Amino acid sequence: MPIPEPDDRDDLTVSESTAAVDRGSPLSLWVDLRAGTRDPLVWILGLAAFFDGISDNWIHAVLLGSVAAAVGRDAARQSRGIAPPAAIPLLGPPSPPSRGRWLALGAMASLAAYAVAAGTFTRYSWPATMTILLPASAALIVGWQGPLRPARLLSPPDPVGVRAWTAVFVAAGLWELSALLQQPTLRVSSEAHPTISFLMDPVLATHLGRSVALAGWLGMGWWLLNRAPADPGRGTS
Amino acid sequence: MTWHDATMAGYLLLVGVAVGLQVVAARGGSRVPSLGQVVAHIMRSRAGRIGVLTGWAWVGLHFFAR
Repeated sequence: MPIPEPDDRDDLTVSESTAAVDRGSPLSLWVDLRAGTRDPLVWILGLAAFFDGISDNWIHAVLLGSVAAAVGRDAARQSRGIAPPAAIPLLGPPSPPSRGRWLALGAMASLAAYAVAAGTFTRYSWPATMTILLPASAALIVGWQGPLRPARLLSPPDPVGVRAWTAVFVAAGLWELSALLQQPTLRVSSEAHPTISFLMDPVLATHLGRSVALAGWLGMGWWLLNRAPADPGRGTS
Repeated sequence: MTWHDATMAGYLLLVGVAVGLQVVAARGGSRVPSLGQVVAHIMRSRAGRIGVLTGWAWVGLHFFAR
């Protein structure tokens, strides 16, 4: 079976229909809209934004909707043949072990200090919201720009193994959903059918719990940013 | 066994399977990739990077933000 290219959407070239219409005309907007909504990520984020919005989680909805709009706009621009700028990794190659160890220690200390300071704020307060929005926005901007480091592109993992991991995450999502739907209402938790959010409530009620959870979340973000491999032949993709 | 116990058992089972997959992946010659390899594979493309990072950002917002 042929191995798919890293991102086939990037292979979109100027289609005849796109090239033939005037920029700014209703037809051009329609062509852009079609190209922009071809990416499933736009639909996933758009739907998530919609449901967060109708649940009164406006900040979540704005973030998800903004990312969906940016991804859609990017897809539309690529369909017009506008290539994204070349990816420039923010950081250089990994430092030598001795220097890298000090850098890692410094990064971990900064992350821990941020988590301890941010953990002082109660959940769902404006200061707590800002302590999440700042690193989240920074990570998304960095991720949009390209990979963090010029890491090499790994060979694709075995599909059987990928399916095993997919099954675990899908099962986890369905299990959480089934617990959520068995609550008395979507906003009233159930001791009999606890969701992960419900289980985390007592942990996140304390300063220590919030700081540890924030450190874990920030560490996960850093780990994810370091996971993205550079692909020198494909621009930002 | 109560419904609470059954729900918790489900979560623990899923965590156990994930840990098991990671342990199997760490052995040489395994067909199972580590979670890091799967994430790296997804994050080759801009859409993959942004999708994964948005999911991570949403988790932070969900637990802490307004």
